[in-house]
Amino acid sequence: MAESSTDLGSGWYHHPDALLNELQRGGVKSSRRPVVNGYENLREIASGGQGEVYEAFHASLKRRVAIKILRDRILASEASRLRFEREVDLVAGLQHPNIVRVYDRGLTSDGKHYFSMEYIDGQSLSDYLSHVETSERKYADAENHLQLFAAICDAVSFAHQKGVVHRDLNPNNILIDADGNPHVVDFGLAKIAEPHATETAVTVTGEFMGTLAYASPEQVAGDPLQIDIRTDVYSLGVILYEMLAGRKPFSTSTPMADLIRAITEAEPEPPSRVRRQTQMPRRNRKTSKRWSISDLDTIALKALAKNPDRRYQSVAALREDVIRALSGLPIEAKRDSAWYLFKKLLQRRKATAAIIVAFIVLVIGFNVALSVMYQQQASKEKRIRIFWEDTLGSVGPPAAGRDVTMTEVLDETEHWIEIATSGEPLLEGSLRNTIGNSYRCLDRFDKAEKQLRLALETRREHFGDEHVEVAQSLNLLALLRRDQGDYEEANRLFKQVLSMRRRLLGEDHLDVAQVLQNMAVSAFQQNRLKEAEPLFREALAIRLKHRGDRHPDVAMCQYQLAKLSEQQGNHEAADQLHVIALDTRRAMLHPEHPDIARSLAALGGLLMRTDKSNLAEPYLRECVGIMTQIVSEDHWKVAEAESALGECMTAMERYDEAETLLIRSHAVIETTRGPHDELARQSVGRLIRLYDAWGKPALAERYR
Amino acid sequence: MITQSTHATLLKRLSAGEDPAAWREFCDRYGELIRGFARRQRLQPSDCDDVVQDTLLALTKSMPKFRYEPEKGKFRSYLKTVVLHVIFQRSRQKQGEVSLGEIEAAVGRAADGDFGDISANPEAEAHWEAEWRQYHLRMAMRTIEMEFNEKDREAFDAYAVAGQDARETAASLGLSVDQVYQAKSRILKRLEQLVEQQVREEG
Repeated sequence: MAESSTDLGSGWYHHPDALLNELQRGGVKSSRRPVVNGYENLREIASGGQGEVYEAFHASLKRRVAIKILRDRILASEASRLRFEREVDLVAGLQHPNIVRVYDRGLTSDGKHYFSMEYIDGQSLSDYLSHVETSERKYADAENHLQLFAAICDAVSFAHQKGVVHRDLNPNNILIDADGNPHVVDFGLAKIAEPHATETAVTVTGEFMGTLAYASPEQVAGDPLQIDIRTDVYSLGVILYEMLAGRKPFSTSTPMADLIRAITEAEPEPPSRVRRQTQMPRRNRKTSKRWSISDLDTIALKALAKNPDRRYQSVAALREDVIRALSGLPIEAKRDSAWYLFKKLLQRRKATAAIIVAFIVLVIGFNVALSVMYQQQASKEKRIRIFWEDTLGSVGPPAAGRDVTMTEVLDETEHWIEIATSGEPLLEGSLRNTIGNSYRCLDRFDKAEKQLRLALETRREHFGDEHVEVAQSLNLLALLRRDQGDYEEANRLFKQVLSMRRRLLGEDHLDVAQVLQNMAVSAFQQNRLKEAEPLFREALAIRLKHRGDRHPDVAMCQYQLAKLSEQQGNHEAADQLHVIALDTRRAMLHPEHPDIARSLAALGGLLMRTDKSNLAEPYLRECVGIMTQIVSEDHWKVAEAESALGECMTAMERYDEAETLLIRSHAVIETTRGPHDELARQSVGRLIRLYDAWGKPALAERYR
Repeated sequence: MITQSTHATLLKRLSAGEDPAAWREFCDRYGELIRGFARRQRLQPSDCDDVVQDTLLALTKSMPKFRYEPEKGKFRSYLKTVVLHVIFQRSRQKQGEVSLGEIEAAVGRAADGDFGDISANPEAEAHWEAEWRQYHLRMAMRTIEMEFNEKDREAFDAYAVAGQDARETAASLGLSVDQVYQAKSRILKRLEQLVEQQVREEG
């Protein structure tokens, strides 16, 4: 209950209403503690709609127990009393580590019904979650929450197998012990009370709205015959939703009638969208890597389906999907989408399927493969880009071995794709786009062109000219033109994509930001800084709005803007933006992510150029360290980083170190890139400057 | 029957040092208050019990120095500061940042009237005040329990506190509706007097 906001001041006890308020809030009683035969030291620990819960000690068994003493009106009729006894006896048979054991039942000295149960030293799930909500390390707990949820499902599912439906699952009757294990309380007890009696009781204690939020549509419709295990599926869905979104699916600060209407009619927003709106801190990198947020959204929304037939048909199935989502496996809830189609396809064409699978595993990586199969994620292209930068982009085309296999697999897949996907235009479009984009990244422009064109045609045929999938194909084609150096055509295509996405998705959609960023990079590459800057800024604004200030995409915009600012001579702005982008990348990405290395190199370079070599050194050193982890030591990318560090050493007059670094890196660059490469010329220049500064003109002369 | 020493005499006995009975009574009076406050500060239940222990330990060391001077500083603020420090240090202690000596030092300063900036947190202040009101009500209720008969008290609990219908209450307890109303107003009036008296004594 909310803290009374009125300041009661020093004389609060002079107001009868304030006194009563305080009494009600604290549950302070004037009557004596109840007496229960065989139990000692009763101490009230909770009070709810059904009665009070006491901590007590069983004298002869020498164990600490919790005793729930029911309010008189709960068991007003003989029928409800019989139900109570039967239900307690049934629940007493449930032995599960996550279900609170019920020991016995009886009457207190003043004739109230009670039952005793296992005492759990802990807090309710609602307190547990609200506690975590306020802590900084919340997202480190996200996976724990889902594990916890799975354990709760496990307990409920066990009870279902024994024929017990809970009917009143909510975070207040799930206790979390000191070790973080859940214990579900009050199985079946919702059933014992007369419907009207429950209502009065809970309304009086002011809990009703809170509990109502977990009630299923069939419960609020008041049809007890409709209630079965799928009612518990729904309530668990609300709990899962709350864990994911940070709030309940429907607002409880509305009149009761509105809440009931929402439960029976309204569609809840996807939890991840709610989470974004409430500006919660972002999921940490480890978790986002493995599970898909959209999978969790799908699971929660399926559990919350209005019609019980459309929910998970058992708590075990719900639990299974949460576990699958946690392990990054495809979830059952999406079975009837493209995944299902794809599986059927695999069954039909086993030979070609083997190649598709090889392609998927070897080339695309599991995440991207899933996105291709699901056909749903808007971020497909982005994922491929990330995949490239993560694994192959940093190796670069000339690295031995790896890309040969790549090309072979691509060629093989290209050969089979038509047969394999005939009759599945959605799949064909996605696969061709993926292959085309892969070719583009390998600089195989002719092959890329063919695949991207075919994908575009397939999609146009299937979706028409104006469609997000068509826009995506055009965007890839534009990137190809940009890579080919045909900036004019690239720009024309980008503009087409931009206006199509704005029409279809709105001005500030993330896909709009993506194409703006592409256009900005394109302009930047042509050194049209005045044109690039507003594009970057607009992309950044959209991403900030949707992603918050700590997201790799936001960092990407800031990084590009930093480089642009440096070109424009605004060193201070460049420095600030680089530091922000680096900070975000460190927080959100794998510690050896190439983007971190890029930020480090750029920031180090900027500091050197602005005569702060001593500040640049640690950044450049870290950059060398990361590059060594990503690629082999004799790769030109390591040499590039070492060369920069060497120049920094020259500036700091540590000539010996500079010489070692510059000579070694120059040798690698010259061998792998050739003596006329831009990088090779740069490293020669650095050697000459070293020897000039060192006062060894003869050595400098050797390189001139 | 419980004999309740006044707040002032209890504090004097505590200040005098070795008096186990005084400490037991202190625990009985303030244990629930401290535990309740610790809970509101979002501590785990097991930690709440430890906070009660630590607070008492810290007080044992500093209480002999604490002089009961109502005009100087309120015991209520003093105790709050001690508990806040215990909770604060406890969380830092869990992260291995603080020694017990630091807690004692901070408590020592609090005894001299230096509450530090830890008292400035308005949320904690509100929680403390809320728990303190509950504490006074519990204390007053102990007296009520001795002064009123059980029927009156049950009528009060059901009708005034739980909000049950007056007629229903009367019927279930075998009282007249008027007796139910009377019970409410008499107990409320007495509660007011008792709390007022307690607050005055507290200084």
